[in-house]
Amino acid sequence: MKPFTYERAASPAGAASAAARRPDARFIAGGTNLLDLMKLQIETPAHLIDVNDLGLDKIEPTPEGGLRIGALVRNTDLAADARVRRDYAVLSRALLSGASGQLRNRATTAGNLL
Amino acid sequence: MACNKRRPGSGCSALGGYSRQLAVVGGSDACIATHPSDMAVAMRVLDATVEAVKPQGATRTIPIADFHRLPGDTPEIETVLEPGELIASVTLPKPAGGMQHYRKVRDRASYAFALVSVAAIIQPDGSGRVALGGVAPKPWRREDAEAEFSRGAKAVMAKLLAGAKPTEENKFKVPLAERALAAVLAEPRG
Ligand SMILES: Cc1cc2nc3c(=O)[nH]c(=O)nc-3n(C[C@H](O)[C@H](O)[C@H](O)COP(=O)(O)OP(=O)(O)OC[C@H]3O[C@@H](n4cnc5c(N)ncnc54)[C@H](O)[C@@H]3O)c2cc1C
Ligand SMILES: Cc1cc2nc3c(=O)[nH]c(=O)nc-3n(C[C@H](O)[C@H](O)[C@H](O)COP(=O)(O)OP(=O)(O)OC[C@H]3O[C@@H](n4cnc5c(N)ncnc54)[C@H](O)[C@@H]3O)c2cc1C
Repeated sequence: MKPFTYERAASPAGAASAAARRPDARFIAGGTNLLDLMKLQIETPAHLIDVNDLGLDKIEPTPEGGLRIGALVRNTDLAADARVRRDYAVLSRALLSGASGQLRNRATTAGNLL
Repeated sequence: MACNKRRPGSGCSALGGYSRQLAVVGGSDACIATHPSDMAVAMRVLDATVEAVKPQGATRTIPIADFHRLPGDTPEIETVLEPGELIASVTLPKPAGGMQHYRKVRDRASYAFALVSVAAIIQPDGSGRVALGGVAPKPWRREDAEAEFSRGAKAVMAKLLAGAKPTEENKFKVPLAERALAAVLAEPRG
């Protein structure tokens, strides 16, 4: 792995502007994908911006009758949410078919979209 | 290893090489990687939207259908996110009802990526929605294919996988996808 610097972002816009200032930076969420790629030197970011402290870890109902899922909600928590299991069973089933229990405990909604 | 996604311009060792796992539709002469996520296939069939935050703090909403890019000749650009843009959340619209299936077919029953996966929502009247994983560079859905549900899995797949260009090693995915959807359609509807 190549050496890199690290910061914990304090707000979503702060994270985005820190990343825009440094094209050699990457966001890190659960790290389950990015760290593997860094160990193999497929990804060689010089700077990591940790997005785990942004308060984006909630699942909330929307006024339209849907659900807003924070980017940092873990796969395990999303799959187990009672509203997801009842109303969006395809999502719960898809999540549980992926990776392993340990990985799903770390993997995030945003990370799994990419 | 030559890979246009990881090292733009270096070529592609999968085209003509080991391609069992790779895309049969939506790929290009530069790249036939599949999108590996199971979750994203379910998000696609549910019509989710992605909320992103730009460096200046402005937010925008991207329908999941538009979020992932096809590779074309720039496979290193995988999404429409701009440099620095952060995903803040993913929103599901109100529930679609129906019977909701995720059928994942793979070489090993656990801890393996999909050869083909089918995310489907089937309503009591037999109408439905379907998105596929494991076959394309993004979760693969074509709303026009869904008009064919009354005619069965073969008719849906003929539209959904129209224009497929499989390799010798992965052409089994086309009938496999059709049979996986047929298995879903054989399940009870209520
Ligand atoms: C052994 C193994 C097996 C797996 N099997 C499966 C499987 O069967 N099915 C499946 O679907 N997945 C599978 N996965 C993939 C797994 O789901 C992903 O590794 C995980 O979802 C990534 O999430 P993360 O939070 O750990 O991402 P990270 O590794 O932290 O980040 C991944 C990428 O997303 C970017 N990113 C993270 N958060 C944000 C954000 N908020 N905004 C913008 N960019 C962001 C990062 O910069 C990085 O480029 C497997 C992974 C492993 C290691
Ligand atoms: C991701 C992954 C990584 C792995 N890595 C390794 C590794 O590094 N090294 C390694 O050695 N293994 C590895 N394995 C294999 C793992 O060790 C086996 O999957 C495990 O030992 C099988 O045991 P089980 O009890 O789960 O068997 P099951 O899956 O329950 O059964 C396996 C087979 O044995 C039969 N069977 C089970 N019990 C009996 C019985 N009492 N009498 C007769 N037949 C029986 C079943 O009918 C079936 O055909 C890996 C597996 C996975 C999924």
